[in-house]
Amino acid sequence: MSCIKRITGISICVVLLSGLCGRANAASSKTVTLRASVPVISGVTLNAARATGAQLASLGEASTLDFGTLIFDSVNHIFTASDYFAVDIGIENNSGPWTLTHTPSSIYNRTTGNTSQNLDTHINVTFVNQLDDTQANMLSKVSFANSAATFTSGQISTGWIRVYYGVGTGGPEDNPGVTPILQTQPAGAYQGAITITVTP
Amino acid sequence: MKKMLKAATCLIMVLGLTSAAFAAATHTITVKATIPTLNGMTVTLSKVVGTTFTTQADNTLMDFGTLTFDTVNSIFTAAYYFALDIGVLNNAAWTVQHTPSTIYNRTTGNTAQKLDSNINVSFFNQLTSTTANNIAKVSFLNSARTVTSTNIATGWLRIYYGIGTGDPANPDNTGVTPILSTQPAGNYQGSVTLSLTP
Repeated sequence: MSCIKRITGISICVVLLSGLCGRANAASSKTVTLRASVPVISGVTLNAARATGAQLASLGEASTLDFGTLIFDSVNHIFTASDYFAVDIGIENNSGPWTLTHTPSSIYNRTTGNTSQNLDTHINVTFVNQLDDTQANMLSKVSFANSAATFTSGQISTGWIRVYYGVGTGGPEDNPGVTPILQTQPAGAYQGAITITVTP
Repeated sequence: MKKMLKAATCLIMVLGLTSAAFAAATHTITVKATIPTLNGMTVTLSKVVGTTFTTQADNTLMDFGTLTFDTVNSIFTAAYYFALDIGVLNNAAWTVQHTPSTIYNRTTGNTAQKLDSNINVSFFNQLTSTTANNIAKVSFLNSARTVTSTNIATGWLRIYYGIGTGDPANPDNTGVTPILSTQPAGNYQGSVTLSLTP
C-alpha cells in the first residue's frame, strides 16, 4: 500500500513536470486590449481684443464690445471711435462638418428707445479666415446691418475665423454699405448684440 | 427590478450626455457705443464782390463802408454785400433765431433815420458751395426769423445782407427800397443776433 502511495506521488510529479515543460515549449501569445473613449465635442470659444492701430490688446472672453463715448471730429463733422474690435472664434468640433452663424441684433438708441435711431449702417463688420497671427484670407466685408452670415468648415480648412468690428470713418477702407456717423445722429447710449452659433 | 432601474438610469445618463454634446454652441456679445450731445454754432463771414467770396478775419462786423452815390439813379449803393455761413453742431432738433437790431444814424442819434427797409436779408439752405434752396427773402426790418433743423436737413444756413439797388433785373426783396438821396448823412449802425437753442 505504501508502495502504491509512493508510485502515485511520483506519477503526480511527472505529470506536473510534463505539464510545465509542455507549456514552456508552446507558442506564447498574449493580447492586451487598450481602450479610450473620445467624446463628441461641439463648442465655440470667443476671444475679443481691442485694437488701436495695429495693436491688439486681449480682452479675453469678453461679452461686451464697448466703443465708449464717440469723439466728434469737428473737421469732417462725424463721430469717430478711437478703437475697433477683433473677435477670434475658435471652433471645437469633431463630429464632422460644422456651420457658424453670425446674427446681428440692431444697435439702437436705448436712451430714446427709438429703434430707427441705430448705428447698423455705421459699423464695419469684416470676416476673415485667420491663418496665423499675421496672415488671413478675406471672407466678407459688410455693414453691421448686413452681417447676418453663415460660414462652414469647408471654408475654414485651417486657422480660425476672426471678425472685426469698427465704426465707419468715411474713408475708402469702409465696407460697402457703411457710412460714417453724422453730426445729426441723436445723442444717447446705443446698444445691440451679435450672436454666434455653431452647429452641430 | 433593481437591475432594470439601474440600466434605465444609465441609458438616460448616456442619452443626456450625448444630446448635450451635439447641441449648438451659442455666444452672445453686446455691442455698445455712446453718442454725446452736440451743441454749438460756427459763424463764417464773407465779403462778396460779384461772385467772389472773401472770408473775413473778423466775423463780428459787416461794414459796407462809405456808400457810393449813384448820380444816374440818385441812390446810395454799396460795392459789395455779405454772406454769413452758419454751421450748427447739434444732434437734436434745433432752432436758430435771427434777431435784427435797428440800423440807425449814430451821428445824429435819431432812431427814425435808419436803413432797416433799405437792406435785403436772404436766408438760404446752402446744399453745396454753389447750390442752395431759398428759405426767405425779406428786408432787414422784417428779418426776425426762426430757422429750424427741419429747414436744414442737410447742408447749412447762409444769410445774405445787401443794400437795396432798385434794379428790376435783380429785384430787391419784398419791402426793400434803395437808399434815396434824401437819406441823412451819418454813421449808421445796427446789429443782428443769432441764437441757437437748445
